[in-house]
Amino acid sequence: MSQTSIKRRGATYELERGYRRMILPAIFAILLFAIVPLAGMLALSFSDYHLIRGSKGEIGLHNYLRLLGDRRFIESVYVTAVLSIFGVAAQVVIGTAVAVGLHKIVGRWRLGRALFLVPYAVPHVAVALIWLSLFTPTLSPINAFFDLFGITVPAFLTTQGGALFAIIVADTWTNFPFAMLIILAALQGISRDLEEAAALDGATQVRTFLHVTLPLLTPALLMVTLFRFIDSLKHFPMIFVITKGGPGRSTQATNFYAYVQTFQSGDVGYGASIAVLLFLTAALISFYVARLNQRVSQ
Amino acid sequence: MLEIAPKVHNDEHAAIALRAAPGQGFNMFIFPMIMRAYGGKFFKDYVGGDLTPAINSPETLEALRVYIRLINEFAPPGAGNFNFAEVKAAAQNGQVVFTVEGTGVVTQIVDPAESQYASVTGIALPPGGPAGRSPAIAVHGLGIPATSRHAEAAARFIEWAVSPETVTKIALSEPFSDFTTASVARDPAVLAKYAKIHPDYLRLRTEALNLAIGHYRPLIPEWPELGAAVGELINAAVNGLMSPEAALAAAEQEMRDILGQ
Repeated sequence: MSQTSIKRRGATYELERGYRRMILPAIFAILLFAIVPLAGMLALSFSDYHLIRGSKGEIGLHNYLRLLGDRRFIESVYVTAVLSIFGVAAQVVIGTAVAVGLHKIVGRWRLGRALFLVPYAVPHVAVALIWLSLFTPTLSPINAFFDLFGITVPAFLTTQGGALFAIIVADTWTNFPFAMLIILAALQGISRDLEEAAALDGATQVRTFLHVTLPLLTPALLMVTLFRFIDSLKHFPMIFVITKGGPGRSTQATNFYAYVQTFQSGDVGYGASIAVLLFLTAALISFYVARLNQRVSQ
Repeated sequence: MLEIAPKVHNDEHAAIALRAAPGQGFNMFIFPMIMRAYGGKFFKDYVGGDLTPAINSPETLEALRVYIRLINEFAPPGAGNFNFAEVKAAAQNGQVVFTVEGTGVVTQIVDPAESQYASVTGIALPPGGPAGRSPAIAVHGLGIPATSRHAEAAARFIEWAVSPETVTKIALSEPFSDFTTASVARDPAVLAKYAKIHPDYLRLRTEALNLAIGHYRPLIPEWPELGAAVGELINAAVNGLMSPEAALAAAEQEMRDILGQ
């Protein structure tokens, strides 16, 4: 091995060592703020710890066994599924549509892209308050507008379907820009030559999008769906502010139900077991979609 | 309320707005007022120490039917999800003719600086029922844990915190007047401050304070859980997800489960 190549390898090694040192603070932060609390939550999920009654020292799977027969938990899974599936689908479809539209825009109008990021920058509690007002007939300018024409807009927040719809709308409004950003970045990475070649072959714009652009967007679409789906499992501020879990208990998603059990009922052990299940679901989906993504990329 | 509501309810204005959103501090601040006025109660004998749930009674059922009727027939659309913010806004904007609210909210409804309809808004004690009048009272308890290492110092702090002098200072410096000592309402500075908001306010506030019961919402550690559960079921009945009978039966059963009975 020549002297130069040894020197080069030495330099690479030093560089890699430098990189490793640079990520040490991040690893430390993740350990301290993610792994330690997660381990604590896992430990609590096997305990019978209660905020008021304390603990009788019972350790085991009792919380997990209780989940199997808890009707409210099963209903919360249904609510989460509805919110996540319809919410994420809406965000990805709208995000993709807006991204495709913005991608075609050239010149100074490109600055208008920033406008679409505004909903993403608004804190979730503020978003929830905005939509609570819009869905409250006595406060809503939408209702006031339709009233002018004698049209009565239904009260969404007093039925389960309407309340779920309201949460999905608020969640979509604030989160579609994330999907839009990722898809826009992916669109910019696709060579225009492919579209031009398709056009030369006589393909319409719709066919070009469906058969050329969309397949190339698949990895980005999968990634954005994964991120949004995992995030959607954590539904809380919209429910807390807009419906408070109502009407009745019909919009109590699983994450909200974990809060109810932990902080309203004081049943910390049981609440932790719900949170652990949510974490495992998110981890499982991440693993599955990451593998899928790898396969698609290949 | 049921007599007057149909007379004042029309397409322009709804008769009433009440808190209906589920929660121990939301609908469970208002509903117990109606429940107690009809003779309903949470437990068989709270004062005597018998905490057997007794919410599933004909009296509470009658009260719940009144509450449901008021909200579904005489409140604005969407009122089944109203909380104090929506109730307050509806009253301040003149969208409803009357409401029943906490004193902190009432001051904002009758204050000319806060409400455009303040000059034509009157205040009165909440209406009574067959079992009398039971105003809600928005106060909080201060307790000393059994494990406290400085119980005497804590007791001295509580004495200072709830003394008429301290409470008078709070009544003067804060926008709310949820004092628990009637003598505070006789302080000239307090009188002057609240007379500006509404001339009858302090007198009625003191009357309500004397009529109210300390355990308006039961003073037990399990109350947050009980109140949340009952509030959710009451809200389900208001919005037609359950019948009033089923809601009260479920509420009583859940109260038993929570209390381990």
